[in-house]
Amino acid sequence: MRQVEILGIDAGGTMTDTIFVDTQGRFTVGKARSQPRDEAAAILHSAENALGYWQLDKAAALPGLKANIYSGTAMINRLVSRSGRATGLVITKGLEDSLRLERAVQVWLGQSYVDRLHSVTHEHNTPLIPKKWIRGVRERVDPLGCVAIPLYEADARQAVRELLAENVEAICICFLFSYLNPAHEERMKAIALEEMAAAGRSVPLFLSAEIHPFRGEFPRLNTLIAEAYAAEPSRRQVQLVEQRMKESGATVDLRIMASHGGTIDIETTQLSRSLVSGPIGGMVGARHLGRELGLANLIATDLGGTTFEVGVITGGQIGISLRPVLDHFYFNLPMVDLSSVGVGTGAFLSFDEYSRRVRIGPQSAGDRVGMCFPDGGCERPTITDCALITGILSPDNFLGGEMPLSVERAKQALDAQIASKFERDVYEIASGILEMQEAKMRDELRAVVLGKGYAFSDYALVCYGGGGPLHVGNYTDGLGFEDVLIPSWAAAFSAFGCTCAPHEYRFDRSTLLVIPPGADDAAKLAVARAVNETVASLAERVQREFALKRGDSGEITLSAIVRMQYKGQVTDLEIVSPKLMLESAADVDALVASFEQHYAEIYTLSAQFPEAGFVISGAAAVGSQRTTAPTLPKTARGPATPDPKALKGKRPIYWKGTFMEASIWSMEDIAPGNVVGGLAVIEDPATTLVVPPGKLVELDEYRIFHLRDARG
Amino acid sequence: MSEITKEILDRMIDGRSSWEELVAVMRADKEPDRFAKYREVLQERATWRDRILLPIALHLCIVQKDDGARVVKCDCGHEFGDYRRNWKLSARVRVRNTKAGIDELYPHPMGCNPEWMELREYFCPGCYTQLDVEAVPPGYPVVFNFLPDLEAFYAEWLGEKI
Repeated sequence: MRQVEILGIDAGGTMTDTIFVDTQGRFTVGKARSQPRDEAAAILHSAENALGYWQLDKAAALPGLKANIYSGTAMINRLVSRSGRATGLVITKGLEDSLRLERAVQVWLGQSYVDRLHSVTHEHNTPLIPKKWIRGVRERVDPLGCVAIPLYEADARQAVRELLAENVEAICICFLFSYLNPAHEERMKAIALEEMAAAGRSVPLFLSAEIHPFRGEFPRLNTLIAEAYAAEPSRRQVQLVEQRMKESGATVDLRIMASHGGTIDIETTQLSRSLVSGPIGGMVGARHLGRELGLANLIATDLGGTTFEVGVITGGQIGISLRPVLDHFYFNLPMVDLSSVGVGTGAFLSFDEYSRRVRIGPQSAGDRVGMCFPDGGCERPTITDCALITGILSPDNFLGGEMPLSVERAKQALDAQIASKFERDVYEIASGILEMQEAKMRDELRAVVLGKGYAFSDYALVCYGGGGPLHVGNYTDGLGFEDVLIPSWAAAFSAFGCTCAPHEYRFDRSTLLVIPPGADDAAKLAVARAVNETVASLAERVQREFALKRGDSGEITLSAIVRMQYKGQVTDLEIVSPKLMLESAADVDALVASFEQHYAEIYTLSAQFPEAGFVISGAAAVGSQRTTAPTLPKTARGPATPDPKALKGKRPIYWKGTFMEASIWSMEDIAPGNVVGGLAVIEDPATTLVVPPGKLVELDEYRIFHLRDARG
Repeated sequence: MSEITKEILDRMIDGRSSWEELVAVMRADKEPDRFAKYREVLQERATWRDRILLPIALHLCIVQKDDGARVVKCDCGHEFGDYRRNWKLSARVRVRNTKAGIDELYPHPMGCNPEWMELREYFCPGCYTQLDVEAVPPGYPVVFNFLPDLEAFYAEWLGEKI
């Protein structure tokens, strides 16, 4: 009897995906249309769909679950649709218009490159908090954390009274430099509590120094507001999902995928961590793959319908950005660092009459696929249409043939809208557009890898996403990766990744600690004490979060992360501290050495600049608990020649100017050890892998394809 | 991205478009017949029969008269004469070159120093619509905004006979 162990849920805007992993590490994927009014119902439908492939029903399967991971778009939608809670804001006097000025950058953040370049398309966001609910209070803490102007308590009391009179449902408190000195925010909170008691009405209070003690006033304000406005009201919704899952038999608690790459409990004090969770899963999955295969350096590439996303894993560590952009907002959250470019498989193609060139994107057909899908209602052809026309994609194999596509419609549209303008035939144009798209993806890879100072030869590339395997042979061509890995479950890789994530909290705090050049032991010890104090307070917070969970068990592994830079430079680097607590000057030296080594790896040895001294700009405590993660099932390797029954047939494919005969294979019939040379197409209901001429793929014992040059 | 229709252009002229509609137009490629469409919209809105050759400002077009003359004409029908002569020379003008006059528009200290810059407001003598404003140093000649080469524009850009 098969025993399921892990459930991963991806509740997206249109589709709700679920993935079940069994005790052997095998998995099954289910899909259902999302129901915004009843999220739980869609999840349960999707789960039934997934379990159906294993002839299991949920009453039998759910009680055995050891982990249940949720990721979704509900919270970010609440932000985007401005349907959050009525929130008031108390801010340092003089900054009441911050949300309207948006530090200017937010008028173009998150826009397409073209729209960013043209100021006419820049647009101010509707503020999450209207001006009538914002009050300025006189006070000032200076950039060193010293009080420059005391808190004017009369202002403070009046602000709270007025906001309560406006019937706000929550109040945020955000003062300048409160991450260095929270005294004024704390006093403000005490006053607010008194005033609320006097008024006989109480609303939740959110303090920036408590929730996000980070440098960067504007993103700190945004993150605070997101927590009060969007995340907190979503808690009820996730609790409802958990409740319904438990009514259906699950005994395990629901955890949410958080933007830093770990999963957190739904009772967490900082729910805004889960504002973005979808694209994080793939990176976590890639790291898991790397650990299982012994690969420390990986480039993860996700080609979906809308974007091509690239993330870097170095030394087994996922790159983290502390200033992510979500929708059109700047935030201050540790988030998996991904860069993306809008050349997904659904990107619309258009012909610009003036420059007489083809344009790819930035708008995309999303789940409407392209002209080839008659019910999609598209008016323009997409990348997928080109893939169909050249023949690399089969019209009968899209979603396992559940969605029959029309090559004829694709051809007609591409011919009428683009090919005829160039007076070229439709095959040449389709193939040319694919080359353009693949070149853009190669450029993105170059920008990410070389731009950070890394070398392709030190990294293996992992390819996933619905469209990844179709194009990977070309977008990696000539770059010289150490290896190119294509998991046979590439289409469900992001959901798979969610199930690999550890149960993990991470809390950050900005610091300003200087280690001058030639610092003596006393100076180093002073820095060590300050770092320890910060880490200890953050670690305590990590412990508190774990304790929030009812009936918690299991050991927590703590580690410290330090952000460092050379004094006077602007970019800091994140390093895992060699020790949780720095006990001696030698420990500080070890930390510095670790930073310098990391710096040299990225920017070369000669770029080191110890003469300037060092600044510790931030510290974080990470606590993780061991969880059940899928193990990759292993099968022994067989012969290099595939079983003849794996060969489905031949079909002509237009490849760079000429029709070539391609062999068509069934992915599930390819066995570990088998080698397939190009030009070949390996098909599976959920994905299509193309092996270009001159290249070959070999399937390994974990059912991961390795792509390489045939002559090598 | 659907077609930019004449109705949309009509709304844009009056500033009645929603921001979403406006952004869609700005993001879309400019279709080759945009000028023709725009001219048709203007022609349909006009209260007079003369053929529009080229709009040169809000409310002002160069039109072709029955006798072949090409003159600058206001929405209201007032004619400024031959398009090769600066129409401003026959417009009504109000010069704001005192502090009091400038303060009427720009609260102190946001206005200019009248010794360094003056504002010249040009009005149509027919309907008193403000047609243009210049911000120039005192004594600066009246600016001739635009002298189009109509023949070349029609022959080489539009590929049409004028």
